[in-house]
Amino acid sequence: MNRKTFLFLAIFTAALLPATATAAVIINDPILVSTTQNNAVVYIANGPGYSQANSMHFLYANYSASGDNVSLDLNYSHHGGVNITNALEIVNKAGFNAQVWLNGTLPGYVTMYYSTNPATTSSYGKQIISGTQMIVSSGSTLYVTIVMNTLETPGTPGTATLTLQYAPSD
Amino acid sequence: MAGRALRAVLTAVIALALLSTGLASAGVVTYNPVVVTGNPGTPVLLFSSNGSSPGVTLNISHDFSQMNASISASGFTSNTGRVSDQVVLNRGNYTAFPNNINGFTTSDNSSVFSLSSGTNYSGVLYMPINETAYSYASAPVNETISPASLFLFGFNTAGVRAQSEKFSTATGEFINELSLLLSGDGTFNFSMGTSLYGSQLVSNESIEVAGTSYYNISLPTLFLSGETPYYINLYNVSGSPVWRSAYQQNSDSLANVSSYGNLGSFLTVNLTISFFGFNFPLNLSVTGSSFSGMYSVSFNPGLGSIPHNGTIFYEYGLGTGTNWSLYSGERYYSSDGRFIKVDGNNGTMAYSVQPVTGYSVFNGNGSVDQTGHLQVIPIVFYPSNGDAVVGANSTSLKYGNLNASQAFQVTQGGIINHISLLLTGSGKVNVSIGNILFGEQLMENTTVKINGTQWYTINIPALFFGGPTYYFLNVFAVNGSVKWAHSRTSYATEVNTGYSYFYSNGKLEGSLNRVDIFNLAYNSSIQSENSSGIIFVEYGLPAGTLWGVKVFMRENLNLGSLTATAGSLWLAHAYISSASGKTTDSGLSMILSNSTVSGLQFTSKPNQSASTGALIGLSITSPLLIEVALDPHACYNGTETLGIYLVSIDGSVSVTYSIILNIIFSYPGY
Repeated sequence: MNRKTFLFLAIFTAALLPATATAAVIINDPILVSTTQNNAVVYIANGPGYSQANSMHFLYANYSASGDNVSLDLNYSHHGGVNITNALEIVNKAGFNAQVWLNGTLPGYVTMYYSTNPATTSSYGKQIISGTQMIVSSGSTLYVTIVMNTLETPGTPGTATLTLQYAPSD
Repeated sequence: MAGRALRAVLTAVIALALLSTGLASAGVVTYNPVVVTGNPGTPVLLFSSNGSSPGVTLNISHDFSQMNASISASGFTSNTGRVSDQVVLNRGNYTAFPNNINGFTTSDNSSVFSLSSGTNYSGVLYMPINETAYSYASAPVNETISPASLFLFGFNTAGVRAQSEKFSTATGEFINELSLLLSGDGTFNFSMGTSLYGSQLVSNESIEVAGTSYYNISLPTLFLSGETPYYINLYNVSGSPVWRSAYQQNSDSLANVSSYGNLGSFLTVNLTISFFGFNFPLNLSVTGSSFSGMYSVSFNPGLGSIPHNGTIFYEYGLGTGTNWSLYSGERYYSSDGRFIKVDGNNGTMAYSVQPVTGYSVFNGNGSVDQTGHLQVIPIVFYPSNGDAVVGANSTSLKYGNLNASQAFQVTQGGIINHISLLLTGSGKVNVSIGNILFGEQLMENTTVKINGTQWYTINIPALFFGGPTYYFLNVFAVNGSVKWAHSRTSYATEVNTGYSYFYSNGKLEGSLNRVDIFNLAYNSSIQSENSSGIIFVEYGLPAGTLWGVKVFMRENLNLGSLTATAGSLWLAHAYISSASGKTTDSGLSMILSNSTVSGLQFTSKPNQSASTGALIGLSITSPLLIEVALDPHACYNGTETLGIYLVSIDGSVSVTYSIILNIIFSYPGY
């Protein structure tokens, strides 16, 4: 390596370091998260009902890069309850039908439901039980509804981590 | 070496820099800056309490999810042996519960009424429910069949062709059984009517008599108006039957025929004339008798039940035989008696009492639910011109010393609220009205200042009289020298007066030859600003049975208001759920309203959901006002916990907010 070459590399490296710091700010943008999630073939993501619940401060979902893990912050503690229809969705972009498992532990006052069509306030679908498989057809979406019921006992704000596993369906 | 080393360092730095880019990419997910704080206190809705209000103490602990409401319902408890009981209450909405009486049920467990002005009336009908026959009039009571104490009289006496017993019941009663103590062998014909030997109710029923026994005769279910006379009549048809009799030793105390309702006995005999040893029959003659045939008029639940669909309109205040009528269900009904019975099963029916010349009327218009209910509606007339219902006047006056009492009765029942007394002298007197001599059960002592000879008047809450029982107007001296005018009855014009009681040489005397000068009337212009009267009239109980009602005000608790602070929430429906206590009797209803939009009020009763219909927008500028109405379905002391749930939706999110109320019910006298 000659001096010119070394000088170029030194300048390039010096220029690259601030650029790296700048990139760190940019890649914190959640858009990149979506990009990452969309790269997965079967993943969990925000559903059409998420935005409203999030704006009302009832729910925050935090995803892993692979889209197979979500951490939920559930915020309701009064006597009563909050139902969020279509809060999340499980997307299958694979070329096969998938068996899906959503594993994790929910606070006792939280129940989740899934449906193949968007849920309504009168029809949430089937209850999701940890370890029990769901089927997502290729190119389809499962809609996940979250019910926080604190009518009998006020809940405490809690976090639940759910892990998505999938395998091709027979 | 140095170049290699530098190159190696730079390569490592570049690799590390490139690698750090990848690490930073992974860190975005872990430390996402779009952070929801997760603060549970972030308000979406705000509840603003109105705090306590009169009659209600409302405590809210830390948020609106726990509230304690301490409610003491206003009201009163009555307990009386009279056929009516009355109370003055502040204007408002009330629920009344008749007292429970063993063996009886009421046509309705409760009644709801609103007091706005004047005097209001409500009928309470008690009905026997077990197998025991309840006697409403008899002579004598519980008399065993004993030749030593009973007489063979009446038909055992030569020439007696018929015998009749006159009786009345305490209030309007249903009867379906007549019991007669008969002897001998033969046949009677029996009738029952509203006049001597009349057969308006039952005619020509045949009774076969074979030996001494109480003979129970089933009757069609009949409604008898209270305190008006009816007649049981026996006619000898064949053989030698005898109506066993007891001697009425004292017509006032009815010592030997002591049951309420026995008014007298009548014999019809062959009147004969003797002439030179020959007896010539002339005509039949009716004569009063000091003997009473043994009888009992009862309702026996074992023979049938009281009809449950219809209304009995019961008239007070008109003169005997005055015709009156009402319109209901596109029909006119009329009567010259005390009541009009309208049978039906047509749900809620409006009624309208037709005007009677010279009279005004209470309860003249209204509606009544016929289906599944048998109700008695008091219809109370009073003279429109304020004429005295009871009283005496004279131009030939004397003035006697107090203390005195004038007995009176309101023969056809009625109402008064205005007392006039002709007094002279100077000082003060106490005036009262009672149902025993010198009693003040109906009107407690009211002090009147006297200065000179004139009519002195007292306005009182309306007093109701159900029938011809005697009452007493008492005037007692407080101080000074006051005298009450009186007159000989032969010089006086009097209405419904009885004995005049006064002290002569320190001894109490009663006289029918003199009458104190007074008037009792109803003046419709006399009304209290804030209070109103409610008079409950009892039907169906044997004479003297203690009964009463508990009356509770229906409170409205203005809890507060709810506003949305984040975005826009829309109220979809609400409901109340009983968590503890008498779940079906909590007696709470909910009223929600939104000030910016009309017609949004609705009421939800316990364990029922109520939809708002159109969604109600909640915002700071359009708060949801929350009221809870205490509408007792039962009365008891205790605590109830109730959840009031409001369900709002906004797009994908539905939120249920609860207000937990701990309500302490505390009823006076219970």
